[in-house]
Amino acid sequence: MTHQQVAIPGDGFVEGLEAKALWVRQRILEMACRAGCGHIASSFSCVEILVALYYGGSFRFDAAAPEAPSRDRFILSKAQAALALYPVLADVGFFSLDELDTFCLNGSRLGGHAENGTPGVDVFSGSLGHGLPLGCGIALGGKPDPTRYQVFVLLGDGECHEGSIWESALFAGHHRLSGLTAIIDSNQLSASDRLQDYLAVEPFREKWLAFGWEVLTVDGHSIPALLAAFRHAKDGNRERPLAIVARTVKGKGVRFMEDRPEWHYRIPAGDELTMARRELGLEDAP
Amino acid sequence: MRAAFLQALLEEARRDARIILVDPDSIGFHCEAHRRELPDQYLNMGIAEQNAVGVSAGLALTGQRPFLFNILAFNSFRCFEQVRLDVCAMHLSVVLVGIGAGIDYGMFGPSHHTMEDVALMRSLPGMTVWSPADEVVAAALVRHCVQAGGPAYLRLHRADKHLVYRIGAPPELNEGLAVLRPGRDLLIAATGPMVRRAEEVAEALSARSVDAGVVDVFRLKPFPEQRFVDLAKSFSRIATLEEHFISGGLGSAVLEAMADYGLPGNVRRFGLPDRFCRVCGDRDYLHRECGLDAATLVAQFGGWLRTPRGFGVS
Repeated sequence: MTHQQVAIPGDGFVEGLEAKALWVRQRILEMACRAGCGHIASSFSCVEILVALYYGGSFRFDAAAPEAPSRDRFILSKAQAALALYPVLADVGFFSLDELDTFCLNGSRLGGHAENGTPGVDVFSGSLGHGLPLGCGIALGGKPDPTRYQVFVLLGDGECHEGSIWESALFAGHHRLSGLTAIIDSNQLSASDRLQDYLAVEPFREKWLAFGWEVLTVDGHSIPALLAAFRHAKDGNRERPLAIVARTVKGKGVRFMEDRPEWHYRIPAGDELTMARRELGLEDAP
Repeated sequence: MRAAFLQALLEEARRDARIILVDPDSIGFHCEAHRRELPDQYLNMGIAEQNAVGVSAGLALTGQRPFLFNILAFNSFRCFEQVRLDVCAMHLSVVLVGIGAGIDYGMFGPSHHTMEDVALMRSLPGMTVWSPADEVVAAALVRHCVQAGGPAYLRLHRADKHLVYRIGAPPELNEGLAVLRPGRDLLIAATGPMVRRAEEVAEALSARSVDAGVVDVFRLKPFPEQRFVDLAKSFSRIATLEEHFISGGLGSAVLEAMADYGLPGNVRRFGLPDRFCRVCGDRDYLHRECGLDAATLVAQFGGWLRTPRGFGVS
């Protein structure tokens, strides 16, 4: 397993992952600004989730053997957060850090949505509501295998408006797909507005429970809480699929973007960019 | 055709544990033997087509070989984006198969009619589209699809009381088409449920001293362009006959191939008119409604053949 060195809990481990999360946010801002496109706020929302998953030690992968059958799988169903995934995949060794500079540029394999073919990305994505059905099939295909793997699917809370999510939630619950973990990046905002104000999708806990899932609710920006949740996800004694409802803040890390619908798809410029860079430690305050 | 296909699938699944029959609550009663004998290779998905395609794609990602069997209208239109992105964009070995081609479900209305599926499926990169005329071809497609791999769409139907091929003697599937009847005056290219009709029409025309050839085009994508054009060269008139909207299906594929190969030709397309079929009825009844019955077609062809070569219209 590559990068196992970061996966050994101990003194400073959590702080190390928090520093890694800051580094990922810096890359998100830089990549989006260089390309002039990308979903910054959606990506900021799930940074700790991705960092805790890939560096936490529970998620089993090997960047040198990306097709290993026993690997755990990660599906970024809220695919617009590819900006957050690419720095992590590069840093853990799936491709070079230099390639991050090509994000959304002509000829790049790092497009606005993660696609299979990019090292470390297992499935095609970009349209919402596809990741959980695919995850069900992969979990079901691995079910008879004693060395079986865990499939993690990251969903947006707005994405849970899609009917296909609930078709697959029903299926996974009925078939007790314990090899499946859905992480819901619950930041309460979608592309245009606050979910609660136009089409409430909460309460999540009751919904997933009713569909036959086990449910954990965690602070989606707390590395220790996420590490504990992912350790539980990998517990071989689980008997049901697991939903981790991660309470998050869209735009987390840059205060003027936080919890503001208008930042779903905006690229900061001028004074805004300067402020964002200062908050992320990319630029010193005057 | 459904029974023959499911029997062939069961036989193949006995040998190949990767094969999983995925059923969106559509064919349970028709595959009792499969369910009883191979319960681990059968999955009732419930009435949830988007999930059925996504799960099938996920299974294929783990090396399984799902056959997703549903009424065609719900295996194509209902879940088209899942077919497009989950199956075709990843070029996965998922076979979408069902009965209901054209107006197979004539009595159940436009929700169950499948008149534009070929146009849709033909538009997808990497998709192979099969349109068997009878159960002999349908059954042979099981092993062919397993061996070929990749996405496939199989358009089955129930208009095959009379076999086109002898049992156990399917045409060479890699050819994409089979000449059923040589001819001189007119070539009728037909597919799926219209192949028998084409033979019937050719027979009736021969009584009027018209020597019509019949070719069964059972693979609509990739369209067997070279073979078709080689055949078409010796005919001054070509008619296409399909139970599909007049646009996007066999007739379109023929015109595209002839244009691409620079073959001049006098082609007329016969298919379902560009409107929803709001009349209830069985296949023969609706064929009369749509002008696809033998008598109407014989009259149409006869009138066409009496016009001068070139751009004649009856």
